[in-house]
Amino acid sequence: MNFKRRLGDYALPTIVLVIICLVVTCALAFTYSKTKTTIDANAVKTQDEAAKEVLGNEEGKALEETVQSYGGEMSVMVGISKEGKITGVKVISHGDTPGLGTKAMEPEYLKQYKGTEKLEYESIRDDDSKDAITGATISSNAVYEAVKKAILEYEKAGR
Amino acid sequence: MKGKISIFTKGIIKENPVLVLLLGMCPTLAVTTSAINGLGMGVSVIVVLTCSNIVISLLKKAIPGKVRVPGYIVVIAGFVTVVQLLLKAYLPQLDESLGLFIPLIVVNCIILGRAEMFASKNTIVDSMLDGLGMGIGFTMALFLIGLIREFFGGGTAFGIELMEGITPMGIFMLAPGGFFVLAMIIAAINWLSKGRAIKKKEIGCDGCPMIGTCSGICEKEEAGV
Repeated sequence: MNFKRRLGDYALPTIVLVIICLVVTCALAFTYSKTKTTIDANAVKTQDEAAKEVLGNEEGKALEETVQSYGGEMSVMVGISKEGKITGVKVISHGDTPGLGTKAMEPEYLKQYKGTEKLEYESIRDDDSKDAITGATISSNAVYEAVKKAILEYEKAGR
Repeated sequence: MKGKISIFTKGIIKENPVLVLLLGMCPTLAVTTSAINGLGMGVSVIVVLTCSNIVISLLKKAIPGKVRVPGYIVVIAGFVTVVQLLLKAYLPQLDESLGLFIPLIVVNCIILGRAEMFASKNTIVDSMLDGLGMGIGFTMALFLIGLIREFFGGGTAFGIELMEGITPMGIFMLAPGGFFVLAMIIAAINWLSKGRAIKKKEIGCDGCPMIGTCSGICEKEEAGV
């Protein structure tokens, strides 16, 4: 009698949960494998489009930089002209809050980086020439870091 | 047959999850900055709600009471992830606009609420109809709110510029605008239904994560309803 109750109280719920999780995992693995190629292709397409967009009509290089932001990694495409000036900045992927952190990713805000040649401060807060967005300071700083990294990479590559 | 039809239609008007039952407020307010976003979120929820209702109804005798909430959540989260992967692959722009709110569908009160209140106690066909009805009601509410907010707050509808030259009222795109539009629509529904909409409510408190802090049930008891 006691054994049967133990079976019902502990073993059965556990077994049922394990089975449910197993089935769901299989379904997820299946969907993931079927959609992976398309998702990766989309990511490459976004990269290419972003690279074209940040360079505009100018000749130069488009560099993709990954930085840590509020909600994880942020990927930023930075366009640098032959003269070493920033032509454009675009955030390709991020995990920040829609409506809050994303305010620091709008084209109107990112315009301020155009023409920049050097970013020399620790963070965007110390740099008077660049504005951060209230309520999105971490995201704003992540963009700042990404542009800094791009300039460094460009200089290391010998322009 | 009449019973089946009413199961389906109640979710659309009489017991509209957003406008009458007042569930799923968070995505409603956050995502309705445009008609397309509202529609996209709504359709995603229709898919998840219907599928999870069907599966949970299928498994209703198999899941022991003690683990029913974790069981439901795993099923719901599974469907949400599948929907998210499909969106990322085939509708990446919608995925980007809705962003974090897609995975948040897992904790949308409507889905767990219907699982607890309906799917776990009814047949598969009835549960499917309930899911479809509630999902469509949710979509209609979100689409309506999204359209209004997009028009007044941005001058566009579906991204198409409608009011050239007139500056839109930006506040409609922000949080206050969301609350305001939602409130007006709920008020309109209550006025049109002559107050009947408030009284007939079937709120599922057991499955709701807010059960400790929510005051809804207490007010209901106090009013003697």
